Amino acid sequence: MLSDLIHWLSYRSWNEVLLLLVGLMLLDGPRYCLATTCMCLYDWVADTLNPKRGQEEYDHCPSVCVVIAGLNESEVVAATIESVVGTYPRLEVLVIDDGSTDGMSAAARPYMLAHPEIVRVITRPWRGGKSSALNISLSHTKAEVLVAVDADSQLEPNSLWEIVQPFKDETIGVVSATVCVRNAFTNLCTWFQAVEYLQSIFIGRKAAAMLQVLPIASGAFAAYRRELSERLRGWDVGPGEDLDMVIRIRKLGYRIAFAQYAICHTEVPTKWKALFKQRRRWEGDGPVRHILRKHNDIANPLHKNFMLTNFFTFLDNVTFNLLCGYGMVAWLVYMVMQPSGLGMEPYTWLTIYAATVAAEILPLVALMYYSPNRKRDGILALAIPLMPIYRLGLLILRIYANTCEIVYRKSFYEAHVPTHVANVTWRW
Amino acid sequence: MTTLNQAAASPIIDAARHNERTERRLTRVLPLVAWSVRADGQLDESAPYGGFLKDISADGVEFELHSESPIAQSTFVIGVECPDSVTRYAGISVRHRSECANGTRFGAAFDGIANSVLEERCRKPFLDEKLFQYRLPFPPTVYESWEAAGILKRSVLDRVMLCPRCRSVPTFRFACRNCRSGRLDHSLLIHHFPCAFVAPSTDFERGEDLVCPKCLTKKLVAGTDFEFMPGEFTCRGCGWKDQDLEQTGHCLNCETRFAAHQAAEEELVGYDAQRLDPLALLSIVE
Ligand SMILES: [Zn+2]
Ligand SMILES: [Zn+2]
Ligand SMILES: [Zn+2]
Repeated sequence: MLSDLIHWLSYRSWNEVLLLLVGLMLLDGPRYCLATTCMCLYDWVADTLNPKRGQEEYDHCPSVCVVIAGLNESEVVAATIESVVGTYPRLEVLVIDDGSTDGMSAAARPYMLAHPEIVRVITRPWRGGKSSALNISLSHTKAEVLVAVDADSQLEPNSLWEIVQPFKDETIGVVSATVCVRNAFTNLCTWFQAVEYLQSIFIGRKAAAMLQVLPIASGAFAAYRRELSERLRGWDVGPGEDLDMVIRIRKLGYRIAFAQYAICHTEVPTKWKALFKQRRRWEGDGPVRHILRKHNDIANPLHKNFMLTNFFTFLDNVTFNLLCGYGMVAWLVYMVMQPSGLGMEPYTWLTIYAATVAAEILPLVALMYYSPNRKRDGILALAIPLMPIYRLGLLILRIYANTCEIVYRKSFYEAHVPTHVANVTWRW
Repeated sequence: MTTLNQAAASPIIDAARHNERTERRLTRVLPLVAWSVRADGQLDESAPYGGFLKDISADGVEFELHSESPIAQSTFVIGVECPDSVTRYAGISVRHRSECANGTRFGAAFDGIANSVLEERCRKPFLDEKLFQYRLPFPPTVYESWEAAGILKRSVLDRVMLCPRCRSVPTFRFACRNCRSGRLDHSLLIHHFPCAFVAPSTDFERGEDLVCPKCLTKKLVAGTDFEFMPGEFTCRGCGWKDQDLEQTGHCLNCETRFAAHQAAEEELVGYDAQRLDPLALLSIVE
């Protein structure tokens, strides 16, 4: 079968091969394959030349305030607090209950009584939205670094140490961290997400940060220089407030770093429907709402705060998250309409499939090179032959979500913020 | 029941009081028990005397007690077995006494320390203004001896929360969990909806107007543009910050501060007594 495929391929014209290549480059997988392979090679050479590289001691210890803002997370908040308390010396923990009705603050209060000098619990009488809950922290702490942790996410013992190290560099304003899937082996849905998180966050964000085009620090676990958050007077109304905050900090002239080994484990949706909803939200409020609309000034060379890295971030996001989706649709139509019948040929799709699987496998080498838990990640990687199907699903979802956002600003009608807030929020 | 013996009735108490006496007379002789009461209010440890009530008026009684030798004590608490078979008690002090066939005959008035112990106000605890402590007018041993004799019955009037150190009455208020001080500052936060900014309300105040420091929107309207949120309390004593305060006691006597759950919860105990009402008794027996 493989020889048949090679035989078929060898009879394609250059035009046809080019057409196939264009299709491949419109997909996420092959594109990241290139970047991660280069990055891994670079690190491998550098590590070989300098064996002590990457083994520096933790020598930066700013005061840290961990903000755990959540709504109705009474079942998980205790585990989150436990994973934080005692892992860092200059630590404060602020638990902000955004008007929960399930007794979330009551679940957190025992920790406040047990560690009165570390843990504080702030309860809102009613819900006000994630951003304003995070903003409460600004008037409640003077710590140098604010670390936002989702109430359903747990840190590893060295995660706080890892996430504050990049702040040694005065130009770093925000540090993005690795988010891993805790319930990876629950079902195929979470398994796919676990592989995706490894590739797009653990490896992908490292590459994006190296290229200075990383626009996001996951709300699940991210660190901000408090002085900057205060200067910006906190997060804006969500959804997508985490991405928005990073861009606003970058606009101040600060950079974003990625702390690869600052790891948090989070719970992901176990049902396809829930995953669909979550992604429709994430995809929609990313490139369209925040980059194309709200912060399109970063692409304006005449703007006083213009920076090349921000411009590239804009290009990267708009191109790969938005245009590539529509490009894919156009490419499909073009393929199907080929007079040569190329689009109808099974071998065409077999080639695309084989290439995407190959493009998943190569970054696997990078993953294994960086992985702190090779056994687990190796088992997860068994899903790779099926990943192109999952990615195709995500791509369709992304096109749908972006279209919804472009056409009728769907993200402003999300249940992510309460109605009384959504009604008066500015629309971008 | 003893048969009535009206002829046995004779003038009682002194002549001065005699004129005020009611004209009614006890028509029956009722059995009684008498405990001698010491000067400090406690009952004598010796066994009570038995005897008969001969006559009664609003001011005093006339009765006989049986004994081999003359009875010298002059303060008694007597328990009269009334026709409804309830024993009722009265405190008396002897005015005059005389020998009679089986023992001693007494004329006595309703006064003296034994009468005081039975008074309602002396059977209920009161608040001592200097120590802020609940106490009874007589020492506990008095009530204990009377209770042991069956004259008084212990009853729980209420429960009180007291200082765990000195049992005085504290004040309770919400206070700092750390140093238990009630000197607190409370901040009110404002959440501006459109920009999600949250800060103490003082940060929004510009003269008469409310202005959002983040997005500079003016003339904010409560409810539509923003909401107030309870902020944290800051203790002026120790700087502790907390959104929730703890109910805390402050002892008015020894100044100890303690969490409300550490307070000594005690029963406020009083005593019940069946008091002898002369006029009521007369109306029953007549
Ligand atoms: Zn205090
Ligand atoms: Zn505002
Ligand atoms: Zn006291």
